[in-house]
Amino acid sequence: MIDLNNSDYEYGFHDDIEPKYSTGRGLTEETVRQISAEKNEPQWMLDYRLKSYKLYKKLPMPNFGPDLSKLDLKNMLYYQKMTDRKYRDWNDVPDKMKETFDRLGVPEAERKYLGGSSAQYESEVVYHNMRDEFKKLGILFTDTDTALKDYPELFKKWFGKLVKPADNKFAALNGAVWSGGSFIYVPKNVRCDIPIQSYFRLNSENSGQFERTLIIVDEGAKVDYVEGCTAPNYSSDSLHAAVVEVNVQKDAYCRYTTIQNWSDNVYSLETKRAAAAENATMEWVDGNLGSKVTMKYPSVYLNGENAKGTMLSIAVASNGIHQDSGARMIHNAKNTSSSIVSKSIAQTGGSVDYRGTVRFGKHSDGSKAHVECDTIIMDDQASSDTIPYNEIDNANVSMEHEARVSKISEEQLYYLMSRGISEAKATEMIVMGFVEPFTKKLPMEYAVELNRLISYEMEGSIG
Amino acid sequence: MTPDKLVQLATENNEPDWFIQKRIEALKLMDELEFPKMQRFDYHRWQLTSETSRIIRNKFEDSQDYILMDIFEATKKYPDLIKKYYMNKVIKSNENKLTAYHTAFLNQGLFLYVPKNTVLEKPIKLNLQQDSDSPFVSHILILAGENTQFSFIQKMTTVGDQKAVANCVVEIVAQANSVVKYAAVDELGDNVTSYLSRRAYVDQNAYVDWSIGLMNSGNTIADFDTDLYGEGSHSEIKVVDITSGRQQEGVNTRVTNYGKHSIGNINQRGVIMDRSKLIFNGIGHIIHGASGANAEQQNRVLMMSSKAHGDANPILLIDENDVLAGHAASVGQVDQKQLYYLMSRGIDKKTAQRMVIRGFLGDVLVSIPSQEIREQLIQTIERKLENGQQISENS
Repeated sequence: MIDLNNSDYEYGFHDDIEPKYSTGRGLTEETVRQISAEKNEPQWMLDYRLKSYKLYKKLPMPNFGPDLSKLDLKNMLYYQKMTDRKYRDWNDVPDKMKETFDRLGVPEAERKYLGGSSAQYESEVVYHNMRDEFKKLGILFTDTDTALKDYPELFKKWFGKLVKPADNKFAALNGAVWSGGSFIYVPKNVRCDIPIQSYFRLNSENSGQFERTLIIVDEGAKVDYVEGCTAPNYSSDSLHAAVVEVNVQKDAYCRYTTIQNWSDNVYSLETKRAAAAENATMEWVDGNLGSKVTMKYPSVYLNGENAKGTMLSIAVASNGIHQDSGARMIHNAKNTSSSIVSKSIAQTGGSVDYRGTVRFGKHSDGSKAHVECDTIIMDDQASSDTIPYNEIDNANVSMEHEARVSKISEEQLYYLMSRGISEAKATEMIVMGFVEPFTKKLPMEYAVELNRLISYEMEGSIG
Repeated sequence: MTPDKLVQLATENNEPDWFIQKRIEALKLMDELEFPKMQRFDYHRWQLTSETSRIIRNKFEDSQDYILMDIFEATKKYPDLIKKYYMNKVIKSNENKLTAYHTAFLNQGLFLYVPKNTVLEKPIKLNLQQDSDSPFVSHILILAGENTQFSFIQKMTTVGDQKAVANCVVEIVAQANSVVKYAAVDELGDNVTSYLSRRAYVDQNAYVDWSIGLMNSGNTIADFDTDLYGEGSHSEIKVVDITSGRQQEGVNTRVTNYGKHSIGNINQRGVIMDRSKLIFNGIGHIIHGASGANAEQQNRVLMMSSKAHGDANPILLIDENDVLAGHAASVGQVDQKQLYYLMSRGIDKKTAQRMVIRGFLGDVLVSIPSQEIREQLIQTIERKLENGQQISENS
């Protein structure tokens, strides 16, 4: 059995930092007003928040997927600001917080291989910085709150364009109490070849993180964005309800990579959506290793001719963890193509589901889609559902979907063991081979880190 | 309908008290129960229930090898078997509004009992005909004793053009080591809104083979299910479906593996024409404990018109690790190269199109065990495709 027991979760530590400002537990209209006032926002944003809050009250909980009945929304901390300002130099970041990020390896990663980096602690981004060479090219990379102040027109033009608060209950909640997240604008024909990273950290018990990320990749431009998430272990639950909007314009390219490794008391209920214009490419790379419950179905609206959308994901679930994730590809224009490759591993009582949609609209002539879902169930306590919807409104399209669920291949295991490799090592090798299409797509350093993580989780898995 | 009227109708039909009681209980349940759930398909506006005003008794040919009789006659002659199996073991009357409706308003049906160790060389063939002046609430209960082997072939048609409701249930109990091959060609008329539910209960090492040609012209909801309870039980479900005109169809095909080493395969092919809509949900469910189980499914759909709507949703629900489960789905159009090739050989476009479609359905067609039913189905398919082509020409 693979030991994914989160008592070994290496990011489970927490530190004691008093917030500078907190709206306290629970959520009312007043909380929403307080957040907006604390952030000194323009009237339109307050209106937007209040409208979202009303919808949040009205919308039902999702009627599918994992059990959310234990999610305690009443005692959640909806907004906590830990510092008075945002820093550009790690030396200025308060010691305790810096220590946390040091332990998580964030500053080190930035020095070594990132074009820009930001770090969010509870509700607010505490640090962000970008290399001068990219600043000079006109790339804007900041936290979303600052973007609202500094680039009001650009912000208003794109904010909330892809994800409306009416979309689902947690998108509405995010609309009401959003805070932090990344804002990226890459100007025309600027190609940012080195990844930009954001790191999200939850620290207190029962806290909610509602980051809002907005990415605009202008015509012919390119960006590679990476996000990572961790939290301490607590006995009571936290909530991460992010909204991410990615606008990929004509001939542009965006890759959005997530390594989600929340502790096993975090509900991660996210709404991620991208729109790809003519000839644009949107790639989601999505690794779900942690959390208590994940519900996440990143989508690509293929709105321009020849637009391309891909999703490459892995999910690992154990010990009562429920990963319910997938992708949605919406073909709205001619000759668009999409590909979904999903690899899942369930073990020791975990559930891992693929839930996805491929839709070919009326105007999707000549479009193609390919979906592949593979699942390994490691032991007899784990389970997996594969629920793909394929909706076709056009005769001139083609779609292929394939899925497989099985245990670890005994033939492969037998072969390796006959070569003198231990069962534990052989199992690990097979799992690594299984997730390889995913790790290959990661920036090298992340691939190494991910391999280390998986291998760490496999330790002691047999015998 | 008041319970009194239903009692009167059943009494006139000379039904035993326990059977009438079952009707009344089901009638009461109808209000409480929901319509069966069909993913991605909304049919709540359809008229799917209508009161039965007369009950039809049918005569069936006797045989020395098996018992084939009217279901109402069977309630008198084999009350224990009917009590045990009819809407009680395979499909239960309290599952949903439509199964309750079925039990309450049943107006014709048959009981086939093939006793232990019987092997029938010739298939049992039946033509069921609906008269559109009345709802068609028909039941087929098939009880295959241990070590039996036989084929059952059923055809369904409509006469008359009044708007009508059909609610047809088939239950198969396949006892240990039996082999049951069931084939059906459904050709209910375009004036009929139907609910079809067919399900098998498969015991140890038994095998149930379903070949279904869903060729109805009217709106249809279909549930095709197999419950693989026995160790080593096995089922193959093959469905071909053509929708045309403005027809709407929702098909749920489900195999549930309970037994160890059970095998359940689904193979579905749909051709969607004109402005019609077809939703194919394939569900493979492996229950915890069914180690060594195997579930495979294929859902393939051919889109013939841009005004058509098609869904191919293959769903896997797996609660066991020592299994092999997989599914494949595809949606596409008529292969242009094949079409072009045939036309270059002097075949006109429409004929060529029909030939390519038949090739697409071929996979499923060739696996239909009876040659007769295969040929009938091919004829029906030809007719349906020709009609479909005609409609698209005129629109």
